[in-house]
Amino acid sequence: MAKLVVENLTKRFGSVTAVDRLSFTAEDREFLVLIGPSGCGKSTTLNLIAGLEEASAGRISIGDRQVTHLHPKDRDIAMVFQNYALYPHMDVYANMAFGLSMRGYSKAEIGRRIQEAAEILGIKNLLQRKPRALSGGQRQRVAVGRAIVRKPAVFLFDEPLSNLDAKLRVQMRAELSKLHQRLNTTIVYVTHDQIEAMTMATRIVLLKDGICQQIGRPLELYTRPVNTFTAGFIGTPPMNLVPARIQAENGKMMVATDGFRLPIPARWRQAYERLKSKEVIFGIRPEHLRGTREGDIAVDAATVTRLEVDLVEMLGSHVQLTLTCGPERLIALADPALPVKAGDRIPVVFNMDSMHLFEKREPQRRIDAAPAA
Amino acid sequence: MNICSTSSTASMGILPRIKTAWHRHNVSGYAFILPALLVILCLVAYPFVMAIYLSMSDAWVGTEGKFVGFRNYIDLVQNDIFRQTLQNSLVFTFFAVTVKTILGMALALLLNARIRFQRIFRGAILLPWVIPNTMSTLGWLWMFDPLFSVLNWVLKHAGLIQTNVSWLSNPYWAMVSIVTVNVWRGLPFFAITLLAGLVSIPPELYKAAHIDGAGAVRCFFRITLPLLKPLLLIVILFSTISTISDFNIVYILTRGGPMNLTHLLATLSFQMGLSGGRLGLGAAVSLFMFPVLCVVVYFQLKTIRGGATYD
Repeated sequence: MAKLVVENLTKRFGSVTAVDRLSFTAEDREFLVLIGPSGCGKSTTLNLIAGLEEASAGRISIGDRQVTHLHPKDRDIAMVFQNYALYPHMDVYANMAFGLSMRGYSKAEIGRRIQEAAEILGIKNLLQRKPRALSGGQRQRVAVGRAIVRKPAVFLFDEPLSNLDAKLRVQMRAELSKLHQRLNTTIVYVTHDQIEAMTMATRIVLLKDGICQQIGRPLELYTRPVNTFTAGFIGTPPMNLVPARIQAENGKMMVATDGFRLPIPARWRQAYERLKSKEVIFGIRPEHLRGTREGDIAVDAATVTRLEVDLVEMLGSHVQLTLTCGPERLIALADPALPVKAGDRIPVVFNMDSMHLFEKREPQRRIDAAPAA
Repeated sequence: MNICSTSSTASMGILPRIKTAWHRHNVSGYAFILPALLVILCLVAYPFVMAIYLSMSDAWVGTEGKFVGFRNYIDLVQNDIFRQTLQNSLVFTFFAVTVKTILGMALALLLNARIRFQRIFRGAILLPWVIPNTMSTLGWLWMFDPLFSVLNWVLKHAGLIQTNVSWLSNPYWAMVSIVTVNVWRGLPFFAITLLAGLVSIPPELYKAAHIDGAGAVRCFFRITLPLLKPLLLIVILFSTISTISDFNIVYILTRGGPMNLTHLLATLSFQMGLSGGRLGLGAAVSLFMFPVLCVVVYFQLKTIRGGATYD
């Protein structure tokens, strides 16, 4: 139970910089998720925190202690690996006891802690089994059990659910969240799955090419992505991003693309005055883009555009439409009852109150209407 | 499926029938192992059975010989030279295999470490194993020469010895010498096989062990060694069999001397059976260790089957 502080952490492998001046803080009892695409440096970061890799520069502290150059065993951390890394020649009990016996705990204390952990994880009946006699989910629990018997200051999870099938993953996700509440300890969790990040994290650190893109609560990343990378990474299906130009027209500010021209909501007009005639990236999430039927439209007709349907995907609860918008494609959602087929031209309602604007030049930063908002 | 094909074969010609039978009884499988089987029958099974027969006969070179039961074996047990040879074989095998195991393990760990020129080292380590046995042993014979050899010269100039050592005619050094050459030659087999075992251990296990607080030594004894155990036992088993039946080294270096103190079963068998012409006695020498080895193999294989696997 401690705060983890990472400052300007850098790791270079030869000429490749895997982690670049990364700084973040996991508060005491926080569930911090490191997320990013493959090769973004998230696992390297976790290995650096664990001490399995030596940092090229920067500092790591756990609680009040500087641990940057300490041996893994002296950092008071426990780690759960993607492939569980259970010792195949030891039974479950010995696997969980290993770390404790290395630290010189008494047999009685080891037994007590293992019973306690086995109780929490529901693996009491598996203690005498070898790892190869366990299912994926059971191995996962044992791996977690091996970590929690140690009662470390910080737990590190390295993509612990990615070897499980989809159904089990959802179940373990909920269990890990509950476990976090119960153990009340600091967790740093690496994943590439943004649903895991959104559902479990108290805060998310989003990485790309070893560089931190955004740190914030899940909803913050979702509603106010700081750049187009974050916008495209968080949310499924991802946010629609199209190049656009801001134009003034009869006292209104308009977003114009090759496929549509739509007005910016009145309350932001003044704030976006400065963008007049500028090239930008217009972003809108699929859930804020609704395919409808002629005559159904009960909203401000100014935010409606007719677009051609390229692909219809029925998902039961809703229909996902791929629309043609000039050279770009837009994803929109619609009611499953909507009679629509590929090639139709249908009215699409843009919920402009949920629009995003980004700079056109890299790194395509967010443009806020009011910086303080 | 079976019922189908049976009913349909009734109306078939002879060729399709053969085809069906061929597939149904897996004849192709037997056909594939037939050549190997023939070779084994002619070159292993026949000589083996022949040796058993000879060992129970009083055959000399040029005479048929008659069945004498276990007479040869009883003679051997009472023969001083044979008893000395048996002891030599056990001492030779025990030390050679032990040293090969320890050094092989150490070498495998070194080769598995992240070092420069790793591939070159891994390749070079195999050299003693690929050089023809007789050639390399002749090289050793030259190095062990008491008067003109590089070994004595180096030791003398390093100040470690005052007078030349007669490596192959001193009873103690003769045994040390043949063990050394056997170790030199057999080490690559241990190192490379154990290296293959080390490479297959998932690196995450070591990461987990490091975090769990195990240092390098405890990692080795608690993780590496238990996981290598099945492989290690197989390697030791193979090596024991090939070491106890070693022939070339002794035949070239010492011819069993001095005073039969380095004779091994194979060289004694050769001397008695072929040089000495007593075929029956020679066969008995070579078969003497067979029952013992059978028991060793049985227990070792049994232990290996109970070993750990990871997936």
